[in-house]
Amino acid sequence: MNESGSGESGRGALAELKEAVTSLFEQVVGLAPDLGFGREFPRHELRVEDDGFRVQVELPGIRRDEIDVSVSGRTLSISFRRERFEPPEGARMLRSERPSGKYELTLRLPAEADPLAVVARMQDGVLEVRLPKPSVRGRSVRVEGTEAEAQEPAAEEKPAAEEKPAAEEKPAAEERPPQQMPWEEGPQTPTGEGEGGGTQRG
Amino acid sequence: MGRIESDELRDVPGTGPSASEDREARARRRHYARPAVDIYSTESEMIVLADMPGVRKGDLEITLERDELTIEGKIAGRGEAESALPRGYHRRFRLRTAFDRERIRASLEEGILRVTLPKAATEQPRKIAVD
Repeated sequence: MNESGSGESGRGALAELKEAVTSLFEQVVGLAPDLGFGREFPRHELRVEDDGFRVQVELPGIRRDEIDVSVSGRTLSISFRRERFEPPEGARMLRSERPSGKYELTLRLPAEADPLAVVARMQDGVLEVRLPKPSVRGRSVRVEGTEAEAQEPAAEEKPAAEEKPAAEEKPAAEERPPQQMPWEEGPQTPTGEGEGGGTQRG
Repeated sequence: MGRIESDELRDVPGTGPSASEDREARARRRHYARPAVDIYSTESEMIVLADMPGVRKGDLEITLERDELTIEGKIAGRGEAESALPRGYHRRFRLRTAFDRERIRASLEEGILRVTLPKAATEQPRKIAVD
C-alpha cells in the first residue's frame, strides 16, 4: 500500500472500505450491491445552473416520440413506456433485469421555470430537459445603460398562476430587486397543488 | 428482477480485483454503475442486452479474455462534480459455454448494448444420423 501524501488519503481509505464491503457482499450474496448507484429507474438528476435547471433522465431504448414531457408551475412530468425485449423463439432466459412498463417521473422544481422556453433533447438513451429561468429576471439583471437595449419586459406571458410570483410584477429596470428571488431560496409556502406538501388536516 | 442461476454464465463481482486489472481502472470505475441486463440463450447463441445510456460507440469496450466477458462504457462529459448519475458502466461475466470468438457481434443503439455470442459448434445440439 503506497501513501499518496495529499489530502486524498482519507477518501482513499473510504473507497477501499467500500470496495472491501462490496467484495464481502459479493462473496456472500454473489452479486455486487451497487453501493453507489441503485436500481432506481429511471435514474435521473436535477441540476441548478446559472440560467435555469437541467434535468437528465436515463431512458435507454426509448424513442423521443414515446416520451411525454410537460411542465406546469413547478412540476416537471416525464412519462414514457418501455417495451420488453422480444427474445427469439425458444430462447431460455438467463437474466431479466431491465425494467419495462409504463412510467411517470414527476419532479418538483426548486423554483418556477419558463414553460415556454423548455427544451427537451434525447441522445444516446439520455433525455436532457433544459428549463430556463423566467425571462423577466434575465432582463432585470442585464440592464447596462443604452436606451436601445432597454426594451419593455414581456412579463405578462406567465400562464402558471397558482404560484405566487415573488418578483415578476416588478418593473425590470432595477439593478437588483430588493425582494428575494425564487432562484435564491425558494419560498417555503406550499400552494396545495404539489403532491409533496400535503397537509393532513382540513 | 429475474435471475436464473445457470451453468452458462455467472456474474463476476464488479469491483473485486481481477488478474489483469490495475488500480487505476478500479478507481475509474468507482463512479460507474452496473448495467441492468437481459440475457437469453438459444441453441445457437447467447444474447446479452445491457442498459448503458449515455455511452457512445467510441467509448465502449467489450473484451473477452479467456472465459471472462467484460462490458465497459464511459459516458463522455460526465465527471468531476458529484452526481446522481454514473460516469460509465461496467460489468463482467464468466462464461461457462464455449463461443465462437471470431463471430461475436455487438451493437449499441439508443443506450442499449447488444452482444451476440454464437455458440461453438461443440456446444450446439447435433443430430446424429443412424446408418
